[in-house]
Amino acid sequence: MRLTLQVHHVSSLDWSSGPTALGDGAIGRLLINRADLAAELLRDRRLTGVHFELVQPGESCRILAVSDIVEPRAKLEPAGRDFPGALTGVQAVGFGTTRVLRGMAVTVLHPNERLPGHIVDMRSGGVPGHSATDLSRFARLHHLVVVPQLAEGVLGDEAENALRMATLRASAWLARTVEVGQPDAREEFTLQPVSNDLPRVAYVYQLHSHQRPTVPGEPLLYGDNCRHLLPTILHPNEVLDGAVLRAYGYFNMETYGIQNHGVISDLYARHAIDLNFVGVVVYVANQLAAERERATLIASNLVRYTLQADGAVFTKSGGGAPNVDMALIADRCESLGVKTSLILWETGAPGASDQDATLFNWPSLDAIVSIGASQLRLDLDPVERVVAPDHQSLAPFYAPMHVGPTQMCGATDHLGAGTLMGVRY
Amino acid sequence: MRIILYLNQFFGQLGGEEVADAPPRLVTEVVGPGRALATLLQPDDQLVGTLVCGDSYFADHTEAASATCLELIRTLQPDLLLAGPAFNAGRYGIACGELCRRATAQLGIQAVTGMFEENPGVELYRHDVTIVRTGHNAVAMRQALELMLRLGRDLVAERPLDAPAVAGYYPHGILRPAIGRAVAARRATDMLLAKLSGQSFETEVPLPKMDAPPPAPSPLVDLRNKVVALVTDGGLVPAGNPDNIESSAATHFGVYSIEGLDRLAPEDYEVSHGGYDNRYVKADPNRLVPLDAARQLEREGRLGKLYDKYVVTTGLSNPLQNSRRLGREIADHLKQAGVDAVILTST
Repeated sequence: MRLTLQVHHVSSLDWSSGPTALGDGAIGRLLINRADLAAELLRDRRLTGVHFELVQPGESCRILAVSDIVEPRAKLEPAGRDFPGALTGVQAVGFGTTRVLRGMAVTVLHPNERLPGHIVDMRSGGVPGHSATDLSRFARLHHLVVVPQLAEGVLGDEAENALRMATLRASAWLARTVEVGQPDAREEFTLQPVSNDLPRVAYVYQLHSHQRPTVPGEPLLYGDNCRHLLPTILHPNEVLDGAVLRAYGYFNMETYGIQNHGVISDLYARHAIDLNFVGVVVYVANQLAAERERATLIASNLVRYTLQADGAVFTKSGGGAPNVDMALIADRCESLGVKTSLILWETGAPGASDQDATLFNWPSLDAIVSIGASQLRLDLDPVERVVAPDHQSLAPFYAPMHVGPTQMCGATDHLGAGTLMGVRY
Repeated sequence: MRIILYLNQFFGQLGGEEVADAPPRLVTEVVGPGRALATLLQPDDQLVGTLVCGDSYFADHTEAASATCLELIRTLQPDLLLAGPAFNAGRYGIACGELCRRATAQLGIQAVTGMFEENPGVELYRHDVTIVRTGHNAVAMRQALELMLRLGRDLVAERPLDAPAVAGYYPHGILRPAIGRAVAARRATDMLLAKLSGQSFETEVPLPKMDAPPPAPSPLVDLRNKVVALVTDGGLVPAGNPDNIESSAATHFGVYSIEGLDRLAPEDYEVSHGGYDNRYVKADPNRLVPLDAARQLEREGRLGKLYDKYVVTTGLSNPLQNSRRLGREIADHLKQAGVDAVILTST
């Protein structure tokens, strides 16, 4: 499978009454026809209205109540396969050509979220001595903020689905419709055969934790809700090219973070150099003991006997309990002779000490990367602008804020693209 | 800085094991490691006294020994207590740790000690006391004292200490946010490749060391004449959550009457617990707190008597220290109520 991304750099956003176009009059300037975009989004009658805001890097601005962040992407060839199973029919992706508008994101807010919800802060570093871009990749991007209005009666899971579809629809429409010139860059994703000397490395990817079970129609994998997914193997290109989505309910994972996947990007960058990236084992964290045991066996067997990996990198999703699902599979891999490293967000509460760091302590799991902990606190500076769904009082959110890292989009990225960590003192 | 040095009978030159029961005394001459320490002091530092106490005496009379030591320390009004270093000596390490902890807690004096990593005093005291990493024995004395003095100076000046790995002490267990040298994915691949090639690497999240809790002394098989209580950490509280049991890492527990009830009615309860899909418990609370089944057993005589209240708290990321406290407090309450056995339900 060879996937080519045609990358177009966006360095500013503006409105236009003409066609949506990139580079017209100034390199990197994206002009967006918001009436056209609104018309596209309102094709879903669960939305009765939508308004937009533009936010740029470096602005003294906080965006609140974020429900998802997505990079505008559209498949050019074969066309009409954006987010297969969810936005379009179930179709093969991961090859051909996909257009990417890089340097920007579509950021969709949840109209019913109790504020502050999830935050993109364009100014605050949170950690003393650091900048907003150190804390989160989203502080580096130009944001097209979408604030939908949902029809009466569109609540709960239906509302989540409406927001998810609006996110995917906006992403595909922008990238498909924009008038562009030649791409600024082409990125190739292919796993060429490599020397036998290089260690075979797999990625074990926990797609979702059913602590919050998915519901019918909630699209995760080619549109399937993975409610009882047995572990299976994907080509990394399928993840990058829209076949894998995240569940409703924001928890340290955005669609943008899957499109620009931390672990997959790193393994790809090192493929044929210091490792042989052999594939991605996907699974879900389960609710029942037997399901968890089954997933442990199948996933570790796939890593060891099907992918014949020497080592594997692990990520998790959700909250604290799925640490155990990840640890079980990793420990079994270790017992089968496969070395592991884990990317872990620690669950704790005020008063937690290092005895509370993990929900497991098998000695084999001695290579763990920290992406922070729930008991950490970040200090956010006052800002001059707050972007949020209307109707609520925004006064407190201009002031300095003291928040947990999971409230900051991009700060604790389960998929490994963040730099925030917890250090022991 | 005014410095006091604490030594055991051996380093304090009273003698060997035969005088390990020597009670604490203040010594004004500079003895043992005090001589090395004296050469490390800056012009405005002063070793105002050396406190010597036998390891056995401290172990066997901890309260009295501590009280005496603290009083002797207090009279000299030091800025800093340096204890040991104890290297790998267990009783000495525990004495140093205990004394340092109390000196800071009760007298507000900064204190530093030093131990080898296998000294049992490390795990017991590193959360409360700054303990520098030392070598295995007194060959490493000078290095240890230098490090103890340096960290002591920082503590007295109220300068924040560098990270443990850099500054050379055992982690206190406090977590602080930092920005890593590279994204997590890169660090994870680096660590994995190092592990695969046999190179050294350091985990960013050390695994907790935990002792297995001792099992209950003898299992209770016959409940026919016992008083049994229902306890849960699943956060099932009376509607309105009258005692504000937190929905994660609860700090207290609630005790609610089930007198005269054969089952729990869904409209009377709610769930204050964010960590599980609580729809099924809300629909029928007896799924979590099995009152209906327990009453059945009571009627059949297989269970002597149900305690007329149930006990609830919420787990979910509850720090161990807190959970242990809650467990002790709940157990005390139940013992006072005459309860013999508990059915503990979780999610």
